[in-house]
Amino acid sequence: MLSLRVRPPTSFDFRRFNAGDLERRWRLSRDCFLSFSPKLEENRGVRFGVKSSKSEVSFTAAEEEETLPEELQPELMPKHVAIIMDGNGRWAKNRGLQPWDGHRAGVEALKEIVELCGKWGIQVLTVFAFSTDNWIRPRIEIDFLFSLFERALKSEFQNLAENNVRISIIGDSSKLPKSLLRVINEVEEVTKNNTRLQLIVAVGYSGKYDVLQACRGIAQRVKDGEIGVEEIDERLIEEELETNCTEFPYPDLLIRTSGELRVSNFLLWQLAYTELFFAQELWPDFGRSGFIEALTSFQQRQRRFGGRKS
Amino acid sequence: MNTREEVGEFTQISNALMSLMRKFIFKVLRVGPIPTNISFIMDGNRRFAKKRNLEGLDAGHRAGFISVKYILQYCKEIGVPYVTLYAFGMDNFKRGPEEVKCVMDLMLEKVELTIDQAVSGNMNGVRIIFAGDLNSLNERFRAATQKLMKLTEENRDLIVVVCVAYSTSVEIVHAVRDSCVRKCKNGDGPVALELSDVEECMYTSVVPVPDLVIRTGGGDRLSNFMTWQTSRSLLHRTEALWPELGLWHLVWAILKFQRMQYYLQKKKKFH
Repeated sequence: MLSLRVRPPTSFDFRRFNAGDLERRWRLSRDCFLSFSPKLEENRGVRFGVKSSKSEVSFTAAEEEETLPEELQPELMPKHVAIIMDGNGRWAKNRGLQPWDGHRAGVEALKEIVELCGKWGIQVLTVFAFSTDNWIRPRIEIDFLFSLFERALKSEFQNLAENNVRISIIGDSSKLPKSLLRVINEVEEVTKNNTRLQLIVAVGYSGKYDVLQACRGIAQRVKDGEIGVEEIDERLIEEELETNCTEFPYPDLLIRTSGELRVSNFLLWQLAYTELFFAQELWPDFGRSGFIEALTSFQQRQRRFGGRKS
Repeated sequence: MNTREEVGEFTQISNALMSLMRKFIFKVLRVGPIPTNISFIMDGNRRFAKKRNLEGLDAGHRAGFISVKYILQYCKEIGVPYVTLYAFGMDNFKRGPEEVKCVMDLMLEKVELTIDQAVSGNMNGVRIIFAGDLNSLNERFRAATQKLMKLTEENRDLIVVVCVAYSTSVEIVHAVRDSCVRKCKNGDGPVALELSDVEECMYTSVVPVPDLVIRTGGGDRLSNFMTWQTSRSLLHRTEALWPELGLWHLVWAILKFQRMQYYLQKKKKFH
């Protein structure tokens, strides 16, 4: 779906992109209240005007902990949020840019969401960066995506490590370039003891592949005589899935941007009782307001997990 | 699937007119692609009963069954080859024991009614398959489901998969167990385990994957229903409760599917 505010195609400029975001927030009446408070205004000023064009993820001081918007209740916040970051290509096309500009904008949007999750007490954030189905894209785009990922990891990981963020990568790493694998291992190793937020990036991942490799692991264990076939149950499969790297493998909320109404082979087993939220905006436009909308919708839902709420 | 009721002449004429109108609508729909398998998550029965102040623990579910009959009739007229219904999930056993018993008794009653219809040749070419962990059902119910499946085996016009005691977690555990047993018996290494091996052992392997999932009752989640098979399906939700689901909701869902199909085909070609 085309965005109603059509921007003329210009060379890609982060500040301009962010300024548009600010303008949209000012228009939302619920945010207006917050944006008049001097503390936040100052922080926003720091983020958008004064700093260099490369915005950094910053979890500033403890004052920011209370910046939960008034429509969200802290006790109803989801513990695990999963996001399918769809729409980068379309976003770039709408602006007459190349697909890689869209992906770069996507990375910026992701940084914003990671920051918000850290501030608002969400403990796990899983993002679908690259699926097994994306291998059919043109080679040049895939190479760009991996080099962008590598650069983003290298530049952000110091920052994230200082802010107590743990990074885990899940997915089939056999086809990824060696340099990227090295960076991934390093990042996972350095951040493995962090506790504030766990960022799980799914690269080369597909839900079916995950269950299949869990199945293979279990079959190997059965063959080795470690367990009997009758002992195979849900708990065992859960242990073998790639999401065993986290304490909360089941997402409470799944957000998919760009208006598509599908799950597209992401997190199959784990999505059993996940609340789904489909956002119309494209991923680079999603930002804070979209995220608040998704969380508000989540908090209003009645979750029964098959049972009955009397 | 007609119930034997006495209908007056006026009702007969109005039924005939409605059926003619539906024929036209469906003819237009058939110009575009029709989903091969539509699956329904039938949520909202009890809310419906509360809304209409109906008496009885299973009143909402009885209303839901009437809705099932209509929807199956429409699907048959449109020409959808497969329909999947989420009747009772493994997690629904967590509900109060009286409610569970009530629902089970109702389902048994309806299955036995359908058996009578099948025996008297009134099935209209509909085949019923039950998918799920049937061993966890009571003896009588299980026997009735086996009988109904056998009786309707030859029918081909519309294949209905009723998911009872079903949940994807249970299905995957069962598929993993079966495929493990198969592979270990053959002496193959576990690495030889392929996606197709696991998929063959699923309860719903006899039907193609759903193209369209319609969830009533306003909830936006899959509730452990075919999360494996629906990874590429269009997920459509509606605020209407299951007994309120009518012709227009179905037509709207299929139109939405057709619009998405066009975009999906373009995407496939582009990639």
